[in-house]
Amino acid sequence: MKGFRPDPTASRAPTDVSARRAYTELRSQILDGRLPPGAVVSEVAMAESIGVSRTPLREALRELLSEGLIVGDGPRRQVTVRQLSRDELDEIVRARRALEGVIATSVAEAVDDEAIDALRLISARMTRAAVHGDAAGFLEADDEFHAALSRASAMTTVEEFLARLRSLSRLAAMTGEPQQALLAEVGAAHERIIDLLAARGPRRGRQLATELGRCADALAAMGVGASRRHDAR
Amino acid sequence: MRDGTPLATDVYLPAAEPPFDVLLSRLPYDKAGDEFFMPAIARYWVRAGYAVVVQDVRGKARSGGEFDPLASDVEDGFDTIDWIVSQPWARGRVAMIGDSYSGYTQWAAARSGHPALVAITPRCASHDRMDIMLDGGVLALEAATYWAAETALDEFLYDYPTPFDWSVRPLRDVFVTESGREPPQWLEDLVARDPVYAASPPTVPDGLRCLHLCGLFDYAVIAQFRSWRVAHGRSAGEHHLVLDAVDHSWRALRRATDAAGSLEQMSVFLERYNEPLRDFLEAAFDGSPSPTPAVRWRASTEAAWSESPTWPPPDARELTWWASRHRDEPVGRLSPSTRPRVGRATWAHDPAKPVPSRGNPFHELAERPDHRDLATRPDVVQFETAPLDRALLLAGIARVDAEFHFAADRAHLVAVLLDVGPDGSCREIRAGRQLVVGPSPTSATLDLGPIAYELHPGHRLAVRLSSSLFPRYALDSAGGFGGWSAWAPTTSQRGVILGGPTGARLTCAVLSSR
Repeated sequence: MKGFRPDPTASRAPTDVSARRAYTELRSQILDGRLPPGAVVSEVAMAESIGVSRTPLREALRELLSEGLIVGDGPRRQVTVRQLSRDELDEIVRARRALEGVIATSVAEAVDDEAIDALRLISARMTRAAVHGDAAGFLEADDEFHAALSRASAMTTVEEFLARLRSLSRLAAMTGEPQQALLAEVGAAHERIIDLLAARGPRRGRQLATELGRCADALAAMGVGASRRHDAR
Repeated sequence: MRDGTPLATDVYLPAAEPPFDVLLSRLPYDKAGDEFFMPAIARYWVRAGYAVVVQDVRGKARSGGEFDPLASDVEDGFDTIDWIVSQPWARGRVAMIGDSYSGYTQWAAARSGHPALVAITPRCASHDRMDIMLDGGVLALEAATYWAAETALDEFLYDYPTPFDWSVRPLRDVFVTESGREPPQWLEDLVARDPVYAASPPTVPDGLRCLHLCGLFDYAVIAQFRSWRVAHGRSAGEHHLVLDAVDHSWRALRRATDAAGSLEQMSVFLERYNEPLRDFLEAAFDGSPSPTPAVRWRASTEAAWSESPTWPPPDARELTWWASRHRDEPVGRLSPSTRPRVGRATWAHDPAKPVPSRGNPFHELAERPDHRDLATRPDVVQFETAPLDRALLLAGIARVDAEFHFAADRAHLVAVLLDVGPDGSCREIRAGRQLVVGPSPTSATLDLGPIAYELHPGHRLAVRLSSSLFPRYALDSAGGFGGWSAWAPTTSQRGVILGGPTGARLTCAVLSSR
């Protein structure tokens, strides 16, 4: 029902095609944990459950392969959801910290009242998701929060890399049990980010980079818990 | 707020020297989002010299606390107005604006009796939201379920897919399947409530001015009109009524083509949307006599506004059309003269195969579906006038009276008023429903609310009776609302008497000389 007055029929019209639908559906199944790491993604079953033919499904799989969310090396050459090792996770966190450091100063200078207001809304959603124990919803909103920040940098290449790194750390974090302490840590970091952006104080770029680093670490810590369990299996 | 909960609030100030008169809107749909596009509406009024305050209600969007529909809006409205008038940019007077739930929050603030509130302008909202949902004692199932998904949970569901799959049974599982969550408690309460619901009268402090903005195609219009009628009749406050040919989203009926109403550009829309408030607000803040007429109405947004001291207009003449049907006719007749009693028109009500409602419950004019295929179903009876030799302007309050026969101790009676084109197309003018409580037979009156609608020459006026319109209305299963948590449909016969003093009939005022 989004778009109370703007044309509801327009938003219903599939601007795309089944490939986009298959991609969106598969991606959300992976990122909200319905398809956990290691799960086999069967072309036939997926095409049927999403209601698309196999050609658009293959297109969606290609895109997800290139994003690194699935891998094509399962037993009998099956496609499976990627299972990140501790080393890979460590690499992702370091890359994320480095790139968020690159954008922090321009983000801090670019955000205006409306952007801060949008961040507050996402932050409120995260708080509610945490209260309801909805880890997938929390992590989705977390991704939106960081996406909104990196968009403000107007550095499109870094933005693209960061989006990819974030989905990988989300994939890892989602496989862990929801860890209230870590969720609370991310929530608190977001509140501090909003406050320091709203205060418009000096050196806020550097402070922002520090807080963004804390977010990346907390997500990775959730993922580490998960990868330990995988290693133990 | 008084309990320390912060509510997220935007303040838009004109560039001029303060202080300003202030317009306030409180809504659960995101104060700065694109759903209600309050930033565009606020900027429109800022250009007119007002300060505008827009607030997320408790527990929604960025505001703290828990969302509990209708629970805290009286106190939160009072506290917000109190905060506004303590600001250095505020002159000390507040009026409220907004549609739907944010129309309800205006009534709630009025109930708080804050002396700084000089005017409210509820649009597409009654003073009692439950009255809209339970109009006639039959739950507006589709609107209630969508509203629950959209509003009563949280923002994650803003993007829920519509339409829902209404074939799922029991009906509670429609919500569960689509949202992946349990229905909110208020929806469970609404379903469990005795549907014979009596709304409390609106509370209107002395001196408060109210502009009731009604959409003639809005699902809330029957209850909202009742709000106006009761408030208007109680001599407290000052009441003005606007009846416009629009739906719940203020989308306009386009009579020129009768086609689905597309939306104008935002700037054109904002002018059409806000224009009825301008003079009213100015006089309300001045404390001067209002230039706004008691009733302003039009049957099409392409027509000029008409004014009237009340509704129906005093020069409108009440007409009654009596239903009749010859044995072999698939569709019966409506004629303005009494007929001798001829027996019954009956239909077979089967909750497992209900009469389909069509279109979007909140965007009634986004498409105007053709209902011609429904006219001869075994579970409806339809009656039509002869083709009109000249235009007919309905301008009154429509109702259906009938002696209603049914098997259980209570049953749903649904009436749909239709415009039948020369090509056979059937477009809905208004639908209404009534829970009729036995013993059968019972004489029933079904309120169809205020109507302002022009039928062109060659068209027919029709009324279709049935016991279902689904998913718009809750299903009548085993007499009353069944099928929510358990599903065991049973079929039964329903019917109305034709002819004679208790014969089924449609009544509405018409204007002839326009």
